[in-house]
Amino acid sequence: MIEKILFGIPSKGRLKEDTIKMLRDAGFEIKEQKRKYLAESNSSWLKFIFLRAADIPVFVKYGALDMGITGHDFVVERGNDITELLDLKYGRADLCLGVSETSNYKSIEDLPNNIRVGTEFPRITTSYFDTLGINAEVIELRGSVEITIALKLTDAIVDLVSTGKTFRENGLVVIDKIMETTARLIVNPITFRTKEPFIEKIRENIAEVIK
Amino acid sequence: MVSLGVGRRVINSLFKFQDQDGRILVLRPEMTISTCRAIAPTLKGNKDLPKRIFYIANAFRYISSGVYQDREFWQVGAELLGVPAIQGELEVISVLHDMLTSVGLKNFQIWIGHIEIFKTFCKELDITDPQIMDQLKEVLWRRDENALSLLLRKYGYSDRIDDFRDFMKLRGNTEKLVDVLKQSRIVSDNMRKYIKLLFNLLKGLKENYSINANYDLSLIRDLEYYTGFIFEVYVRGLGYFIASGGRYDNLMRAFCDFDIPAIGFAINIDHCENILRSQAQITAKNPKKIVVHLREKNLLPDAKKLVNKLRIKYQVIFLPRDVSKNDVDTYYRGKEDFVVYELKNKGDISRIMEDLS
Repeated sequence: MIEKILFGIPSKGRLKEDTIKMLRDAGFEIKEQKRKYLAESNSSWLKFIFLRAADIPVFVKYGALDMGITGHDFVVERGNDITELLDLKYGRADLCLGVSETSNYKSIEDLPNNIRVGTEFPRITTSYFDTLGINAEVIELRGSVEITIALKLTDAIVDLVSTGKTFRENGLVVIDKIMETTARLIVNPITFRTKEPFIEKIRENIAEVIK
Repeated sequence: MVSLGVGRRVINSLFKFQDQDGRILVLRPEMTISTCRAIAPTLKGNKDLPKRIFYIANAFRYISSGVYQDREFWQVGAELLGVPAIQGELEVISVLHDMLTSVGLKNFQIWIGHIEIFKTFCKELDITDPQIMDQLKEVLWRRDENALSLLLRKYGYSDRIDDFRDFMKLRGNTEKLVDVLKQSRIVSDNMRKYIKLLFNLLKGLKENYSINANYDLSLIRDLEYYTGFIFEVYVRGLGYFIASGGRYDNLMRAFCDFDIPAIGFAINIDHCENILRSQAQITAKNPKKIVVHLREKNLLPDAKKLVNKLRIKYQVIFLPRDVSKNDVDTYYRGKEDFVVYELKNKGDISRIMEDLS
C-alpha cells in the first residue's frame, strides 16, 4: 500500500470526463466500478480515488492523497502548501463577480460597504474585497449560488463562469473577473520528495499529452 | 511572545483568544519558544552550558476540519543549548535518528538544508525584500515551478527565473553534493562556504553514526527563528513530516542578555504512532495477540526489552513467573486469539523473534 500512488480525480461532471480521457491518452487506464470511490488502474503502483473536486486539494495538502487533478480555483481556495505540477489547459473558466442585470452596481466602483456576497469560494472572495478596500459579508454556499440574488439573500455573487449561460438565464451580469482557472495536476510537496520517480513518470506522461 | 519568530505560516494557524484586558492570548503552536523562555532565567552564563533539555507536550495549530489530523498534537522534543555547529547538529540528529529507530520506525529519510545558502543566493541576485524572500521560501519548498515564475515576474525579476529553477533542483545525497560544489554555475564562493558545512555534516553523520541523510537546498520554510541548518524527517510514502528541527542561534537573546548557540528537534507523536501502526499492519504476518510467559526470573530484564519491542507491532500480554503454567494452559494455550511463548532461557528470545519475523 505504502509504495502506491493515491491519485484523486473529480467524481462528476465535465472535469471528470476530461480528466479520465486525458489520463487514458497519457497511458493510465482507470478501472472504474459503479458506486466505488476507489479504482485500480493498469499500473500496479497507481490507484485512483473519486472525490469532490473541491476536496481534492485538502486531501493532497494533508497527505491523505499523494496527488490529484482539480481546478486552480480550488487549489487557491483550499490548498495552500501544495504544488501545482502542470497546467492541464482544460476545464477553463473565469471566477467572476456577478450582480443582477437590474442592479445599480454597474462596476466595482459602485459597490457599497457591507455588501452581502454569496460564494463557494469564501477565502478568495474575502481576499478580493480586502484588496478593493470594501467591507463585505461573505456568505459561504454549496451550489445554486446564482439564485441567491433573486431570493434577496445576497447582493452579489462570486462564481465560476465558463459559457455564461447560467448567468444569463438567472438574469445576472459579470462586473469583474477575479481570476482565470484551468485544471491542474497537483502533488503533496513531501510525497514529491519521497516518491519522486513515480511522480515524475506521471508528470512526464501527462506533459506529453498536453503539449 | 509565542509568535516570536515562528513565521507567517504558523501565525496564521494560531488559536487566539482575548483576555479581559484586551490582550491577545494564544495556545502554543510549538514548544521551543516556551522551553527557551523557561530555561533562560536559570542560566547565569557560559558555565551553565551546554544544557540538554527534553520535553513531551501538547501543542495546537489550526487545521481545516474534515481531515484526519488533530488540531491538538503531542510532541516529544529535545533542545541542545551552548554547542555550536556542526558538533551540535551531529549530536542532535543522531539522537533523533536513534529515537525513531528505537521505536521501530522504518523507511524514514532525514533531509537537511541550510537557510544561509538561500539568503546568500537571494542577496547575490539582489533580492533583499523580506516579504519577497518569504514567498520565495514557500514556493521553493513546494518546488512549484509555475508559482516560482509567476512570483518572480510579479516583482520584476523575470531574468532570475532560471537561476532559481536551478537552485530548486539542488538536492540529493552526499556524493551529489560534491558535484554541486564543483560544478553548479549558480554556486558562488559565499554560498560554497555554507555548502561545505552541509557537506561536512552529511559526511560526519555517515562516518560517525552510519546515518545516510540527504540534502535539499529548498528545505527552508517553517519556523522563522532558524539561523542555520534545518532538517525534516519523512517516511517513504507519507505526505507529512514526522519530525523537524534546526539551529536557532539568535532566539535565546529574546529571553536573556546573551546569545546562546542552540539546536533542537520535535517529533510529532501522533504522526509517528499512525505510521508505526500502518507499518506494523503491513509487515505483521500474524495479527494474533502474543502471550509471553516468563519462566525464569533472571530473564526479567530481557523479557521486558522483548515485550517493549513486540508491543510496537503486536498486542502483547506479559505474564510474570508467578502465573502458573496451568492457568496459562487454561486461559491462553490453544485458543484461536493467542500465541503463547515461554521464556526459559536466552535462546527463547531469539527463537520468538525469528518465529515472528
